[in-house]
Amino acid sequence: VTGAVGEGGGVRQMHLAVQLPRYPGPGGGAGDRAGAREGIGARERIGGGARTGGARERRSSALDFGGYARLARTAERGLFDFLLLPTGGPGPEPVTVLNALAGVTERLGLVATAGPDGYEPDRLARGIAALDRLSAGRAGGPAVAVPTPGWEPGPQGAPVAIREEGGAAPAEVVLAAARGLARPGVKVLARFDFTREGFADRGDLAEADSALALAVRLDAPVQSGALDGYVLLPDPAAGGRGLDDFVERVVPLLQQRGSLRTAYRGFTLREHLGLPFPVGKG
Amino acid sequence: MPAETPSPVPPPLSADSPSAASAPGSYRRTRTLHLAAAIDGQPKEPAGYYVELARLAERGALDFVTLGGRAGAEPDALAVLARVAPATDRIGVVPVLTAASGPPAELALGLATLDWVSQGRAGWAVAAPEDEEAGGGALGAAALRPADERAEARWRAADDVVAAVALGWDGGGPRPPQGRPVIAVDATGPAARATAARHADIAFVRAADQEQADRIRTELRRLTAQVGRDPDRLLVFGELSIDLGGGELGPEPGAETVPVADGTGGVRFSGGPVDLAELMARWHRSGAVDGFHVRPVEPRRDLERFVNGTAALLQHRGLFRSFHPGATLREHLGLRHPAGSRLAVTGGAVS
Repeated sequence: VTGAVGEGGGVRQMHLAVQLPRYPGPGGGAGDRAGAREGIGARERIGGGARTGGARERRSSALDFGGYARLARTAERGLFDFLLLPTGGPGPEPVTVLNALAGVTERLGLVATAGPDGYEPDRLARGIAALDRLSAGRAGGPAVAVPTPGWEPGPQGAPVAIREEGGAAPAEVVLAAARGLARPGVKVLARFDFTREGFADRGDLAEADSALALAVRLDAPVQSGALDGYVLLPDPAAGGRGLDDFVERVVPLLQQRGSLRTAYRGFTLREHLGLPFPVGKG
Repeated sequence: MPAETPSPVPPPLSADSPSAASAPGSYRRTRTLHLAAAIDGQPKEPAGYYVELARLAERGALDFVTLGGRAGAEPDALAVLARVAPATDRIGVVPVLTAASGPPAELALGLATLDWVSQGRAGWAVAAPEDEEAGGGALGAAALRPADERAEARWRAADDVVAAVALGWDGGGPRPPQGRPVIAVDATGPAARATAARHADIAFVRAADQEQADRIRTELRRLTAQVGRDPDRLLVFGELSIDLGGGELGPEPGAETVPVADGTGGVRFSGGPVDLAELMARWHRSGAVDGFHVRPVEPRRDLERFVNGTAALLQHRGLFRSFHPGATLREHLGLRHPAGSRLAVTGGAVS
């Protein structure tokens, strides 16, 4: 049932995440409006489908939550483990956005990590705990130091503890800047920036050769045990196009190699990442 | 299709209503009835439950739903409504949040983000900070000050927070699509009325009869004019707990279902959906209220009966809209978007 070609149990599973660009936020500026028109926002409307009316369509170029929603659905179509929202700088409040994105997806994990901008890990952790409850176990973020009174474990026990590399907090998943190094007991996902890696222009991955080259390149460190997966950073200027291409062209190749799931097996982020249910601390 | 269904008869205004003499030259406001509902509950599966109730309210073309603000209520009202927003299309989403929980900038950003993910459908029902002296508190059994003084102090504190949040929306952070999300204040008590007059778009009033509602509305309009705002910009919603589990009383000659105090400072209506429609039409016609905020006692049962019974009947009589002609909460309420909001100015650049 696993892997399309049944290469046996020796194939290591790759974990994939996508990091959303940090938009200028509610209100934004002219640049974000132009980007939305040509890219992400113009092609997606909240709620999707025929249910939405003309007013929604008219406003979609000025308002860009639809761009986030579209990226989230694309990542879920690609069977990604989770979506990561940066917390630094101006822009919408990340946890509120993740709660909204939980409404447009069904399985995709939803993650925010504490940044250097002063979003206190404790406050973020409380927000992530609420998100975990409301999304039935799809949240990840800073480890909760002390469970709040009245806290009851949800479907995944506790949000998956995820932090950036270099921190000292306990973590089940560590997100590395560019090159990560696997370590026992922790999943390490390295960032993969489409622009920096030369996949900035639209259509790069449309070439069969380049899609295969990318699949091979991504898979090698995972199979050698150097890494557990990647956080992809699509080119924001290309709208959702870069992630679309990746999901359409690279994901099937990774599935053929047996290193990427062909369906979600569970509902919680913990299940996607193959992490154990946390044991009580008392 | 008409943009909005007006009342078939010219709406009578109460004799002392200042709106009879509202600014000449400004367009004449149609007295549209507005309806909103609380969707509080204690569900096992919160997300599905709240989405279900919000969609039900949206089918009834209600202006907005509120969540939170009651003992034992959903603790993450803003998070839940952010979840509800993309699962709905038109209905306003208004969390009840205390005007003290955290720095105003966080409150402003959270609400701006709710406005963003809902594409301009967010509001904020302001709750005053907890009364720390009540019930003994840390200072002993007897409160040090009389209750009305304490209420005034709490609302003075809330007023500062609301002002700071509004300031945040206007310039300090990301601009919400509506410019300012809609602000609602429970103005039943005198202490809250100054804040309602200064900042609110909507005042909730827990009145047991239309005379009381009308008195408070008149007072609110006076205060609103006093601070230099157009009193027509403050909509007064009668707030009723509704128990629609019983039968109708209406057909009995002379029978009239009246709301009664529910023992927690609220006002409860018990009767049938048709009785409730009669009461709403009567209060609205008299000019005592612009709309109603209902709190279903048993949400699944009572909101369903309210939407399919009461609201449907009011729609049938041309007193309430049958669809949302606009897309934003401000549009539903007939309130302008503040100057500078993205929906008010097309192509307006933001620094």
